[in-house]
Amino acid sequence: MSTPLAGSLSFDIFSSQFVVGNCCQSTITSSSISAELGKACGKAKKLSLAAKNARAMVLRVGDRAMGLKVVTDYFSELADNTIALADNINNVANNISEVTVSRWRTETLIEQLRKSKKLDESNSAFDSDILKKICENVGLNLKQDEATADQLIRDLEVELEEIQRQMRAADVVCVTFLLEATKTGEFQEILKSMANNIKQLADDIKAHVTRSYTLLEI
Amino acid sequence: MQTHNIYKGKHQWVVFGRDEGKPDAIIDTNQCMVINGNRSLIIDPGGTELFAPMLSAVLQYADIEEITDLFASHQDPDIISSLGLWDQVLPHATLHASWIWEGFIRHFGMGNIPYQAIPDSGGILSLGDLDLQLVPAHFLHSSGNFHIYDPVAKILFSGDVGASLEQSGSPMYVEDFEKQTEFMEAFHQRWMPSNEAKLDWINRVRTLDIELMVPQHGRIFRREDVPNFLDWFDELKVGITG
Repeated sequence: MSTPLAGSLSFDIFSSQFVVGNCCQSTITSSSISAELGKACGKAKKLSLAAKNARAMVLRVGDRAMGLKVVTDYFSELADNTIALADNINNVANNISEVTVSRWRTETLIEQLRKSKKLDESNSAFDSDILKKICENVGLNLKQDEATADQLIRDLEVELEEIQRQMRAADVVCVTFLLEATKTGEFQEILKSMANNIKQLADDIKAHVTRSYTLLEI
Repeated sequence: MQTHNIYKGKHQWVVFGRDEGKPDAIIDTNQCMVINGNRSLIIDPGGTELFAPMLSAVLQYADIEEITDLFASHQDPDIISSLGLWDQVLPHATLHASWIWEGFIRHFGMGNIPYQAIPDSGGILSLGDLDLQLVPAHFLHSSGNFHIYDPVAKILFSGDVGASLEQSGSPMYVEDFEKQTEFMEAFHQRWMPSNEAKLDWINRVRTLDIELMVPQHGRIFRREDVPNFLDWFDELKVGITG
């Protein structure tokens, strides 16, 4: 397979310059991120439902709640976007998990190959062209997986930032919702409760995304 | 890893075992290699823990591209959990194992190595001009289980049949058969679930001309001890927890 890495770097897995990471930890981390984002996606679905309920209530209230219609439309759209974004992010996180498992297996193999060579330094079999080529390909595979994982992590960071931005916007719109709710007479309490529920869900999503960020830093 | 060359004719049989670097908590295993010209077969390559010493050992007998065949007598981790590592270093190898385990053994990682499914009736594994017989040994102990018989070297690789649980570093050959039964009895009673399967296997193996019987754990039986073993096994009631 052609790769931008091939031909430009050394993939001598027996060289001290060839650094092997700790994919065991990375595998756990990416799976944890995936789990956090799975929870965020669940909250986004609840947010969507809450927004639809709020919209129905606003329609029931009628003219006194006209100012809230735009807000609930916004929440509905936001929730749908969040679900799509969270699904996409979850796919990226799953891809990272797959790549890190592949890296972990390759790192295990490199560790075993190094042990094997060390066991019998006099064995010239490791000098054969074909085994050298195999070992080099193992090194190349590892570096390719590392490059893929780095790119996926950058993609993940961008998407996490987008979801955080949306949730911050939701916070601001929740304040507007609460203010407008005070103008709806007997419906005030129920609409306030709905707004608080939406805010709580947005906060929960932010918390899951923040935990994902923290895990990424690890 | 100790290496014992147990047959040296036109082709060779080598047994690897008694690995000094093996963690104490894992069971000692015998891995076999048959080398015939530019084709080599590794029989029950072993677990992940043994990959490094095994690779180092087999490369003393064959180049990596000459290791063309792997055989797994059954699906257990001490037999074949190293597969995911072999898969990444053997460019021309095929794995031979019971058809019933294909979907299971692939869990160890098989991106490159093809799986040659062995039918229940067994068959022939051709290693160049050497035809090795795949002898059915189902339910001894695995429900899809095979042994290998080499009619030229007169060697039977008998998997878990004939295995003994002894302390690390025991000798490679059975020296005192009666004493050896002490180390075999509980293992066979517990690990072998079927008296019917046992008798079926004994009848099949009695027809073979055996110089050496090599189990996957424990000691190798020389010609004179093979009938002793078959008689002892015939009498032993299996499928009990002891």
